Amino acid sequence: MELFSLHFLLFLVTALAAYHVVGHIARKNAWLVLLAASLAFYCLAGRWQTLAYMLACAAITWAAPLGLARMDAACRAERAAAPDRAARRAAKAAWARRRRAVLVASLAACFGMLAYLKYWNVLLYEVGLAASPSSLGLLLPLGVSFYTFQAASYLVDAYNGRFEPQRNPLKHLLFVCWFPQVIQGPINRYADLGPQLLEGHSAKGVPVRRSLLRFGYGALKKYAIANMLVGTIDQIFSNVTPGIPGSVVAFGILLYSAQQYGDFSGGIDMVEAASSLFGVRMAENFRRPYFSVSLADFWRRWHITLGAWMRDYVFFPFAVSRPMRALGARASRLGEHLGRTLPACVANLLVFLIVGLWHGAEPHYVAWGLYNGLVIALADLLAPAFSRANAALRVDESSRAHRALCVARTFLVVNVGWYFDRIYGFGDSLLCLRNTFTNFNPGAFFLTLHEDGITALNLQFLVFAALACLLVFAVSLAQERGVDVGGRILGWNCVARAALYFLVLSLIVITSFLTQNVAGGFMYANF
Amino acid sequence: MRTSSEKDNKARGRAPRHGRRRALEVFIIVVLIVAANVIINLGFELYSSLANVMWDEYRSAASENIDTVVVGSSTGQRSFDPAVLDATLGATTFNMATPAQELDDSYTAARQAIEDHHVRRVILAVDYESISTVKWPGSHVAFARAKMEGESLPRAAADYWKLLTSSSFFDGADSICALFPWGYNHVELDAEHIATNFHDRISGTSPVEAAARVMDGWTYYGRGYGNYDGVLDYSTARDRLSVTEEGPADFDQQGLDWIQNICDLCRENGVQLVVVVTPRPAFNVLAYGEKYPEQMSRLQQVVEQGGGTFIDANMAKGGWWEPRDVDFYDGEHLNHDGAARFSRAFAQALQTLDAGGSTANLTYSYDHWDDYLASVDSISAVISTVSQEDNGTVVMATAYTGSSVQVEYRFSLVAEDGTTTTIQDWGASDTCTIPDGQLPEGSSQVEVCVRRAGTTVGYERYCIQDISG
Repeated sequence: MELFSLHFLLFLVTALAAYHVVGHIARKNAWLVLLAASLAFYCLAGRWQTLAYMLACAAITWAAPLGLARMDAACRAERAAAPDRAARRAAKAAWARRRRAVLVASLAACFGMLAYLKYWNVLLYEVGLAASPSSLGLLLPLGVSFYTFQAASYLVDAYNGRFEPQRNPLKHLLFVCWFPQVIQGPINRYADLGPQLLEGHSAKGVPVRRSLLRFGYGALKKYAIANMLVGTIDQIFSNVTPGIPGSVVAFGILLYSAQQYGDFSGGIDMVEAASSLFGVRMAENFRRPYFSVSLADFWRRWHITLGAWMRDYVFFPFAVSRPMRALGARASRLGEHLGRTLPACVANLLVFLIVGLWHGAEPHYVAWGLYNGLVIALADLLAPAFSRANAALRVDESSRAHRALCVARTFLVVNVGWYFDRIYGFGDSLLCLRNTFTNFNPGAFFLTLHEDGITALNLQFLVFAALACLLVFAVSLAQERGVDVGGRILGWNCVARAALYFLVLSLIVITSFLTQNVAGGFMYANF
Repeated sequence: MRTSSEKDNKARGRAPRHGRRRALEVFIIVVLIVAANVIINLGFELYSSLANVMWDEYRSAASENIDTVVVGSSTGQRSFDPAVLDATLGATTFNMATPAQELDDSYTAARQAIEDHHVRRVILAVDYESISTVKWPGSHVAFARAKMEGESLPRAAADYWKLLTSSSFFDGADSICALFPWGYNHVELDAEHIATNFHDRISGTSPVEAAARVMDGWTYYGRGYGNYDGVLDYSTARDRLSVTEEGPADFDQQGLDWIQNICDLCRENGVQLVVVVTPRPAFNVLAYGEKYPEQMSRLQQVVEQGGGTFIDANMAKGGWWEPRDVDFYDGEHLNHDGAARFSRAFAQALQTLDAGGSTANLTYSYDHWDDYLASVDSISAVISTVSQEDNGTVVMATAYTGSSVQVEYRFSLVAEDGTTTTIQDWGASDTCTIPDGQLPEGSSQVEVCVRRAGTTVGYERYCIQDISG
């Protein structure tokens, strides 16, 4: 079920009607409608056969914190009954070990399921023990990475005593399976999302117009940009030959940067909008990432909730771990900056290695993750040198020109990373990167595209994607300057709004048609 | 100073007016969008679509007797000339096939004909792609929209709702985008075509007149059948292959299920069903390799188990139907002369069936695929592919011919001024490497000629492809 479909629309309208009707009658129980809708959506959009995995993940992350809470109570009782301080300390240490064991076991169970379903087959294939990356026929549950990470965050936060664990298993299940987040995130935190799901919302407080506007904006990005470009990108990179001109590679990567953003952020806009129609605001996942001034800044704007998850549950615990503190102490002998940043650099490498693996177990994803980690680590390590160079060259770091330069530089750095993300073969990624610099060969651009099956007509119709990109760029630029674009549009008169909505719908209709037909050469099919 | 309760009262008092204003705004926006949609439809939605032609002609024949209908995609539309069939069989045939008609639409067309005319025979024309994974939402929309034209509003709305909620639309963007039909089956995007389309629609011009004027070279011969007269240029075979680089897809189970449904529909209504795989040039059969008999035999099994008769015209034995090079318009369709020849041959097959005979011996069985391959005694086409390798440009040729035919190739460079230089003379090798130094600067072409080994003719087939220096 696609989000921009009659099926989803009817599902959404039915769920909304049921939610508000039940909420009107018994507000406290309205969350049951959300749970029923979420489970129904999972079965409709995913594979019902894999529901058991999500239920198992929810059950583990529901039971473990309750067990931890009981252990806390037992610890307190044992310490209260202890005859002296030493005994109290011993009891505390013993219970801490047990608590940690429960946490590790629960996390291992959740991530074990994820690893088995997502990576086991690929791993066997990579070592030559499976015929293909999918030969075991394992069914991948819908949103398995997202709900696993979200449930794990609940578990760790509960372990750290950030909130009282949820006693009602169904309420916890709702947090894990909330349907707008299950397709592609964002990875929400219980403290933010849990209460919203359970408190019930009246229809009057729902920002319907803004939500619909955001849904349309997301659909524009998804259909007019991402879906429109994906075929061309596939054709360019499906058969990488040693002679592939760098100009074609660079073109493909530029399209990919737009396609990635359109697909992911467009989808997120649509699910955020769907969620907000129920009065539930999920965490933001994108903040105009292509306006970032550094790669670290990019990762604070792209897939924000994954970055925050990694920061809180991997980066900080690892960076302040005993071995890292020892590494920092040793490095500080070579300089204060090095001593302070080296543990963070190593932690960043680990984080981005995991981010790479999160996308897939294939070597090119690992290389992509490590590339990001390495660039960020080097930028941190060399920060004083850059500052000194800027000072020596009298660069005004607060000027617009400098900011624009930083944005352009970051865009280039990000795009080099996309080589490893998109080109499905580490060797091919390196080859394409080499050709970009050593064999740009713009003269062979059109001929190579033609040989890849990309016709002049295909290229002509990319103008629609370009138009959508321009719209998105204009909106992003205004938002970057603090303009409430949605509010401005909703303030327009009806005719202007109708014209805008029709333009957006038309772009989606046209690109949807082109996506299906131009590749097959049936632009004017005369059906 | 107002109290909070006063503020609440004021807010409550304003809410209905505010709500009414919002509702009015929404209403105006919806009306404007619908109006814009309708206006754009008038200009952009193709009035001369062949689905529109078929349904309009079908409605015009409402009072006439129709005992046989042809349903299926464009291959069916351009393979069966009702006049030829009727002249031989004494039947009254109507061709309801339309371009890219999907099998569920073929079912709809057959059911409509059974309901309206109690037809006694349905000819379902298919090709490999009819049952594999190709989906054409544009075809669905055009078919449904054309059918709606002659229906009452409730029936038309019900038909369109059925389309939007059908399995191929409901889960995807098409279920919403199809509310804007101009995006699915539109005129060529220039002012002249748009204006002509708009004029044809509002002036009462019949769809068939509009189609004949808009589609260069297309002639309508009546009873739903229209065709072109052109002849396939075999040197362009590469662009005419129906098999993609990924190779042929397996048949879609949903497609086979629809075949089953059509079989059931015909059996339940006592209608004879003949499923025909329509003729195409041999290269476009050979390109499928072993997949062709493997998948087609699945189709044959479904049809025969469903009580229908199955005939694959591409597996025809000599003596019944022997296609000539000039019978084909392109890689999948017959031209008008070809359709007339095929219709005559097909009428003989139907006569055999009507006489209680079997058509099994008219074609090679899929179990005897090797016999079919051996029966192809000419070179149907040659294609080439070019790839850049470290040692130069590699040109690889593939000749489509029978298993008993040995071929030889010649590779030549064609410069921008048209001069031809042989770079690899006649030989059995199907590959030629052109070192980078030997390629002329700028764009040029490579020509591959092919002939049967041992012959001295100039060539039997050739192809040309662009390469760059």
